[in-house]
Amino acid sequence: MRSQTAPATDQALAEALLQRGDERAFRDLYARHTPRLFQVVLRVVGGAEHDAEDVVQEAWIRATEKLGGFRWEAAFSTWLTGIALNVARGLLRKRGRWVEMDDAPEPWRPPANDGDRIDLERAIALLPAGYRTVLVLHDVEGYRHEEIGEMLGIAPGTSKSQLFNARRSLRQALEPAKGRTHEPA
Amino acid sequence: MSPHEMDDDELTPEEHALFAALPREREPGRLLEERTVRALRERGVLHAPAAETRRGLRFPAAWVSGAMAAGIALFLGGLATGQYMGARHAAEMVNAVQRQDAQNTALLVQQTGTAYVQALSRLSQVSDTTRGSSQGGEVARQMLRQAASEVVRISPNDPVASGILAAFDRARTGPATTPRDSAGRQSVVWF
Repeated sequence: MRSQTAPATDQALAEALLQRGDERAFRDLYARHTPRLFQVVLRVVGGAEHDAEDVVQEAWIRATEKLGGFRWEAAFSTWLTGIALNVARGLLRKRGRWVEMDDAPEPWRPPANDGDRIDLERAIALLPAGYRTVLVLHDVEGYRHEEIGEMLGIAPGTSKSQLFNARRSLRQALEPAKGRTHEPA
Repeated sequence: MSPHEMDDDELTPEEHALFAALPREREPGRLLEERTVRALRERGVLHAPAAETRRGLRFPAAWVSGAMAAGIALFLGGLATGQYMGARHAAEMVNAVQRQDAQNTALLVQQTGTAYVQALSRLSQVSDTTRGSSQGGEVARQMLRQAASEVVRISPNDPVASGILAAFDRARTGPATTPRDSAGRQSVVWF
């Protein structure tokens, strides 16, 4: 019976990268984490693939620069996602599409009622960036409000209120025949 | 919006199912990886694997010598085998050509012989009083004699060919049967 070598851990690959600049180790890390990271970022930036690729590239560059300071108390993927979210937030802010999060609801108009239902992916992309980010992290990726708060630099309560507003807006977008107005809570 | 209201906000089973059905992974373009690696190399964070490969190709001198000797031996062995196979192949080719040549020659003899007999048949149809007919008969006999000589060379004990030659000899030593001109020279027309 052939023995199989266990895949190297994230930490072992990161050490090889740090100590020897091991490109193969980096490529292994990249292959392991990028598909999920790219999907998260793509949703956060609203579906623009070119923007998502720019964000992912910059996230990897920043992650390798900060890798020596990572203490491995959290999962590497969570830490990497946090870096990518900061890069994405910078990009959206530069384009005037990011409003600093607080408990107040963001101004939002549901998509025009053309009689057709829109799918979930499209509805998420139409949400304001802050709502979208929290909803993607919580309802799609399964992060807790505490983790989201750490990643985005906000209080867990703010994450919770953002999610509440995001879900309400999403329901409006998905059911255009029902309520068409977005009333601040 | 009250905290109580937020706490009560749960996804319905249908909404859960919708979120669960969303893809969790997506491959970016292949170029992104190369772009990222290149950017990291430029920053000095990564070292190109080609350098590692070159480092990995350092072998001990004894190993290199042995490998070279083995390579030369392999080459010479291959060369000798190739020459042997080539020579054997060439000999087979010559034999085949010779076999083919013999068959072709026999066929040619048959065709020529048939033409010879047909020509004699035509000659017999020509008036037997003409001078041309006499010359044709002489030519026919000469051809027959030469043909018999060749057959005797091929098969020295062939009784038919030997008998033909003996008959020619007897005819030459006996009374002249072949037409001769006034000077006694034999007239042969070759065509």
